[in-house]
Amino acid sequence: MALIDFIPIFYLVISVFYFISVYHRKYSLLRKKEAERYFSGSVVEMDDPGFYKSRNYTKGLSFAKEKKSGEYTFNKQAKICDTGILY
Amino acid sequence: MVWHSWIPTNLGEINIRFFGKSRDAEKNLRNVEISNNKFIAKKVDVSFISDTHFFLSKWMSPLVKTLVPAIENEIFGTVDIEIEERSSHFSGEVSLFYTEYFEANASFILEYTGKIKIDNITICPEKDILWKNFSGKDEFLDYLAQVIFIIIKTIVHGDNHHHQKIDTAIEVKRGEFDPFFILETMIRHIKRVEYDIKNMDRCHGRLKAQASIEELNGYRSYIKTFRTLFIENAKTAKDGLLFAKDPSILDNIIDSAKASIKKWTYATTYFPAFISIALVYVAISISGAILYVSLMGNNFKGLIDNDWTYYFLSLVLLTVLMASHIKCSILSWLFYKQYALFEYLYHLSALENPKRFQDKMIKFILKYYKPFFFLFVALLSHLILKNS
Repeated sequence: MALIDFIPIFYLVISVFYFISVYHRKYSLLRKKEAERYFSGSVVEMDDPGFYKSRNYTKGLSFAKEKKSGEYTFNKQAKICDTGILY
Repeated sequence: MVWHSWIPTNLGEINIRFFGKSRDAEKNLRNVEISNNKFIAKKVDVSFISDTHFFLSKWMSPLVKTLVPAIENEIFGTVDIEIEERSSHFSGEVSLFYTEYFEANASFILEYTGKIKIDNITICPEKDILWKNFSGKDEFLDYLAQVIFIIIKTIVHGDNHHHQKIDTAIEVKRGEFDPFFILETMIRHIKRVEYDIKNMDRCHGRLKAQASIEELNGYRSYIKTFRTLFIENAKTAKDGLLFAKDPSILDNIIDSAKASIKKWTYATTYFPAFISIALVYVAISISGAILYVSLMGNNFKGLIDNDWTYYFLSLVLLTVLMASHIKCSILSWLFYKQYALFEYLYHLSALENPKRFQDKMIKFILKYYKPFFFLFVALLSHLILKNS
C-alpha cells in the first residue's frame, strides 16, 4: 500500500475527530439562557442586567398586542449590543 | 418631571446644518422641511427603537424574516419632530405615535453645547396595562425619555461612526444635569467595550474587534470634548472619577484593548502561516514533479503511477487549505454586514431544543458541517484514487 492511499484515511480521521469534538461541545449557561430568550419571541426583557456583567445591552421598546388579553402593551427589550459592526 | 443628558458633538457646538444628515437619520426621513432656523420632519420611521428587527439589510430581509422570530402583532412607531433655533439654544417638540393606539408628546431644550433637557412628557391614553411590564409609571416614563433621547440624537447628531441605537454610552437621567454622571456612563461604556473585545471570537470577530477599536477612538474624542465643555470648568470634583483628574486613563484602556487584538492576531496567524507555507510547498513540489515528468517525456512508473491522480489530490489539498484560510474572513464579513443573520445563527447554535423545523435543520448543519466537509473530502480522495 503506497503512502498516497492513506490520504482518504487521513481526512477520515480528521472528520471523526471533528465529529467527536462537536458532539461533545457544550455552551455556557449564559449563552443557553440568551438563546432561549432570543427564540421566545425576541422580546428580551432585561430582568437582571448584573447577570451579564460587562456585556453591552441596548435599550429597546416594542409595542405589541398581548395574546391573552388582546390589549396593546409596551415591552422592555435588551439585546447584546455588538459594537464595531457595520449596519 | 425633567430629564437631562448630552448629545455628543466633537466640535463642541450643535449646528442646525447637520440635522438629519447622518446615515441613520437620512434613510428614515421622508417628509422634511428645513429653513434657516427651523427643522420640521413628519412621520419619521422610528422602527429602529424596537429590537425585534435589528439592523435588517434589505436584500437579506426576506430570508431573515423567515428565520428570526418576530413578535406577533407588533406595531412600529413614527415620530413628528419640530426644532427651532433661538438666540441661545434650540427648542423643540417631539410626538411619538403608534398608529391610533398610543401617543406620547414631549418638549425639549437643546443647548449649543449638546446639553439637552426633556420635559413635559405626556402620554395618551394613560392606562396601567400599557406599562404592566414595567415596575410602574415612573420607570416607563424614564424608559420613554431614553427612547425620545435616542430619536432626537439620531436626527440632531451629525456624526456617524456607529448606529445611534447601539450608542448606549450616554444615559438619560431624571432631575438636574449631572456632568459627572454622563462622564461616568461614557467611561464605563468604554470599559465594557474593552472587556467585550477581549472576549470576542477570534475567528469571526476579527473585523469587528478592529472596528470596535476605531469606535473607542471616536468615544475618546467625544469624552475629551465633553470634559472641556463641562468638567474642566466645574467647581466640584467627585471622588473616584479618575478621568476628571487625568484624561490619560482613557488612553490606557484603549491601549489595553489594542494590545489584546495584536496578541491574538499574532497567535492566530503564526501557526496557520507555518502550516500553509509547508503545505503549499508540498503541493507545488507535486505539481512541479508532474510538469517535469511531462516535459522530459519520462515515465517514472515506480514513482508516479498516474499524474492526474497526483494533480487532483494536490487540488483537493489546496482547496481544503483555502477553505480553512478564508473561513474566518468570510465569517468576519458576514458578521459585519449581516448582523441579524449572524445573530440568529449565534443563538441557534446554543439553543438546546429548537421547536421549528427550519431551526432544527439549520442547527444540524451548523453543528456538523466540519466533520461532513472532511468526510466529503475523504470520499472524494478515495474516488480519485479508485479511478486512477
